[in-house]
Amino acid sequence: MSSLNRRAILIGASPNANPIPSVYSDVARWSAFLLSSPGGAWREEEIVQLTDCDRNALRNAVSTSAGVHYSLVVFAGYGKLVKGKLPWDEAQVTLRNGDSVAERELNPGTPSCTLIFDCWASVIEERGADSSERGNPRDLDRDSAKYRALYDQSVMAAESGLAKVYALAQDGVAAPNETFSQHLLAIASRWAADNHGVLSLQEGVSLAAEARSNQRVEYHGGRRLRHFPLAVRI
Amino acid sequence: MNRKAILIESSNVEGQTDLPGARADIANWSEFLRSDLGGAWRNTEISILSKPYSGEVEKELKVSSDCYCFVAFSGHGCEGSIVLNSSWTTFPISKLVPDCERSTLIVDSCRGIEEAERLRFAAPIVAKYAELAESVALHASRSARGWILANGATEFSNTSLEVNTHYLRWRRALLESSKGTVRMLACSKGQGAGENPSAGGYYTSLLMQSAIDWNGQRSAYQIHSTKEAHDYAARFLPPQQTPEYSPLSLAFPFAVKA
Repeated sequence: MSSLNRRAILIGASPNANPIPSVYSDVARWSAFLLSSPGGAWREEEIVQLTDCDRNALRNAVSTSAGVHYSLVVFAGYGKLVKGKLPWDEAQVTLRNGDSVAERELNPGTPSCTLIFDCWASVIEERGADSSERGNPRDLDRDSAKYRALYDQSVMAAESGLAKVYALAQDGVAAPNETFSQHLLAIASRWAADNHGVLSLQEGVSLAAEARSNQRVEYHGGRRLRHFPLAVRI
Repeated sequence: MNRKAILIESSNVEGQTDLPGARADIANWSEFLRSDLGGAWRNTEISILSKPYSGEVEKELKVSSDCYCFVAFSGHGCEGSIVLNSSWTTFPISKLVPDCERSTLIVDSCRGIEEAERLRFAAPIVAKYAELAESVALHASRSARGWILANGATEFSNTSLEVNTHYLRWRRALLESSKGTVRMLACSKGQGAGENPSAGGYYTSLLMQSAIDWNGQRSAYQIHSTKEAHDYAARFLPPQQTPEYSPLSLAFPFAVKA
């Protein structure tokens, strides 16, 4: 079976006017997780990290996804849902220089795509990484090719299309002590330590949302019967 | 001329992800059709089915040949079939086509590969987490209130159909149209169809928004067709969702101005 073309674009935006230090570790954590076997054994060249980029750099990164089958875009920083021309709300995020970027600009248009918006309205303090969040280093895992194949199969088994995750601040609610990304990846890593098979994005977000009473967490996977993977374990 | 709208939602089928957007679709369709903009349909002309048995669907689809039938389905599906209820998970889309001279069929569901084919790729799902599949719509709105009338786009008509200008114009446009069935599918083969828990299916909600936008524009045309509504939706859908319309040469009135 031929390998699936993938692209991950991990964006951390800490505005000059109101910095969020946690976005840098969010990007690093996502990268480490994706490179690990449970994260799907992504290759380094498949992952683009953008911290404090401007709109042009963002557009360039998004445009590199041409010819890719599955893309995963993660944004960590300030953002909110706004009502525009469409019948439904869409995310609008803020870059370092204060520029607003619409959800559509982050969508690479690949046949299959997951957009994750981990957005908060105030500063979340940085904290040290839990060892369980780092996943299993791939070089220690001789089965990484099998993990990668299982991840590919899970993407291919799902309907193509767009899936979105919104983790957003709620008005008047205090910031949590960890970001949604930190929480989600910790859950995925713990799942992979105890289980075998595939943890879908839908299931992972559902588990993560249970403990996020101070954040609005929504999974918009559409009407699909099969969902994209979050973590795999042989 | 008779007309009949059959609105089917299978949003909460046992063993499948709940789809609050599918319920919103049916509420929106009902509001839209009953409005002047949608053609001033009467309540007696609209049947709403929720997770129906196949027999109920077949019964509703039995109409006279000169009846115009508008059928909309929102829920889960695969290529060529829909999930009607927990027993009928592969109800053929072809069976939703009524046996009348003019009809429109709108299916807002996914078109993934069929189960048997999919199983070749399927990875084992850990039983411990299987039950989570039923609780996907996190914090989703369960509002049955659509946004069509909430947007102030149009009003329900109180006048009888015999003197309702919107209806008369809609009827004339229908009778001037060719005969056949318009099929409008929310996505292409292999694709998923998106939905928002409150606004409804991306495709369905854009169809209705197209009418609202059109109504707000100055235009010499008094009829907004099914094809025009489809083209509008196709323009604003995410690039991962490409709807299909057939046959391209056929269109029926979708919205009407007085």
